[in-house]
Amino acid sequence: MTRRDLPGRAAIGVWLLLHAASAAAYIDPGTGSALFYVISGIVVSVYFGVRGLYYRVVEAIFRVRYKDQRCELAIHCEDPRYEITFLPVLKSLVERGIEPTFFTMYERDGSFEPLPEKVTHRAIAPGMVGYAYLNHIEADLLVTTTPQLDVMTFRRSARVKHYAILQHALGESRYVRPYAYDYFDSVLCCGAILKTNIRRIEAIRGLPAKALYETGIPHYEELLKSRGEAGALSDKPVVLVAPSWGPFSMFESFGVDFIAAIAREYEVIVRPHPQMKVSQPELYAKVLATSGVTVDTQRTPAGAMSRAHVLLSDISGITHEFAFIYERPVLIIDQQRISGGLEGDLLGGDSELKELCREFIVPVAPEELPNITAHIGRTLANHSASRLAEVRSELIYNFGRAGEIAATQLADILARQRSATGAA
Amino acid sequence: MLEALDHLFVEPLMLIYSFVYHLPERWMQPDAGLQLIFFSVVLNLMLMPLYRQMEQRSAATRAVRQRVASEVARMKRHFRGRERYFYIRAVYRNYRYHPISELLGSADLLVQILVFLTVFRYLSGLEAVVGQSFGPIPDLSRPDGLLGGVHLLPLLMTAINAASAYYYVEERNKRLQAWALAVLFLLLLYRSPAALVLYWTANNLFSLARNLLRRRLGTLSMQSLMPTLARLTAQR
Repeated sequence: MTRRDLPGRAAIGVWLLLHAASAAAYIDPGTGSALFYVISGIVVSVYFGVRGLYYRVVEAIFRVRYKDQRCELAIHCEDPRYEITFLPVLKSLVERGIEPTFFTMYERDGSFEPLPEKVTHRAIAPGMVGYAYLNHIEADLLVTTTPQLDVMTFRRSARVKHYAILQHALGESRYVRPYAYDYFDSVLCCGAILKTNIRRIEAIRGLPAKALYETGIPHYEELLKSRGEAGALSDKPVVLVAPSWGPFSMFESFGVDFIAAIAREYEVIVRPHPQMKVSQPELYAKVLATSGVTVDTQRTPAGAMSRAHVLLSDISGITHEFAFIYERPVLIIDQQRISGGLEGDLLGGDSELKELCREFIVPVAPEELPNITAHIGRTLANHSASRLAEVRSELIYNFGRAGEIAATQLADILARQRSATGAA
Repeated sequence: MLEALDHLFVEPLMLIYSFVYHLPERWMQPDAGLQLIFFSVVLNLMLMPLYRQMEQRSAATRAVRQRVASEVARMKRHFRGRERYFYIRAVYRNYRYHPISELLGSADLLVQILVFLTVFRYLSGLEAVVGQSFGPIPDLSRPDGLLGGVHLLPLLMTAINAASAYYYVEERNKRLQAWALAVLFLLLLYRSPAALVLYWTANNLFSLARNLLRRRLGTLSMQSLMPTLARLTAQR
């Protein structure tokens, strides 16, 4: 071996080092293994960079100058169905002299309830374009019902000082998608279970504790108003059949024939989920064609709920509203809910809400569907509205006045943000 | 530029290597084989504190990497496309991890590459081994050919590596990976000069002996006991 060999060997060494994991083995076998991970790291990084480029480009195209979007309190409503959550809060905020800006990802036409005076409305585009706008606004506080801040395309704006999320339904941070609440500064919690589970997830992920407020569910107030306007119940028990839609819905799993069996003993109102009309049109048509029952397709379920003595459903959010607003019992066909990939995966165990509500939101095993009439009879006979109210007070914060409480809490957050800015 | 880097980083190392290699000549007749073994042992002793520190850092990185891998696997199991992309990004964020950190965080790897490349360069250009015999090896600057033309030293080195992997790597897949690398190394070094293979064989023997001793004393964790190949394979 001479010095003349050196440049050639060194060149081979460098070539091997640069070109493949096996090349590293020429240098040292252990280092080769390490190099494999380095190279795979580079490949994955490049993939991620390229993949993320699309989202960055969209955001860069649609972002607008932040000076055009300056507001103190921004309220973001992703879909018209969440307006019912925000309206009581907006009203209470205005009463406190706060003038929020209400960003909706849809146009508000004459069919919507007018917004309180001093609320500025701005319609923004739905989806990624709208988020590209929101991601660059300037505000002291932004409130939304949309989870997963800073996870998908809804990113934190560097010019928004505080992000808060408000609940549009009774949840427990179990059947929500990953990182649902993790990057908010505050969560206005609906109840104690949500609060506990958020703390558990913070501990599991090693996240700093965020501010958790005991707020409640503002839209229940609006539903209580509807209940107050409803007439008296009929003497003959009415069963409302209102399942969800999709592959796990009751109609999809068990068909519609069981409705006829119920209709032999009870008056029945069937309310197919509005989304079924779009996603499962054949099944929707079958439900509409059911004879001997009333089919309800009104825009809101309030009318059907006010007439029903008992609700039969599956996993739809309507179950909590019916039970807690109307203080009447519910039967749910208890199909196993798979929390694959959802936050419930981390929490383990089964739904705490299901367990605590089983006295009045009664789970019925799917194989018991042929005996559903008997189950309905038993549930109606055993129902205790006072017991339901007792459990409700344990589960839900500030029932019936959550809008006002939320407004107070938001005003408090806003004042602190302002004073922090003043101090700075 | 390259020349400046060479002067700054490589030349000082060459001086150190030369000093260490020739040190035994102060009290003994020059013997290239023994000097190579001495060179290997002293270099390993000098690098031991540095490698230990790097091993400790690697252990922490490894723990994070395992947690990230488990979470990423969960996301891949349940989500597709856009959602999967964003959730994996969120996992990386949660653990303050990025795939590129495999490169940036691999200071230990860079040190090892630097040491091996410079040792390789030093030994490749070492005139002192040309025509020198060591035991049954007639010329250290050529492959040994001790088994009727078959080279013994690369086989010995591979056997030591394989034994290390067998004793120190418990996970089956990683052990297979270590063995595969040992075989690959055998193929690539088979026709190398005996001096180079002797140096690496001595390196592996040193590590094996040190680790056997420490394991008996029970003073260090399993990870830090592993010889180079087995240790790195298990880490990664």
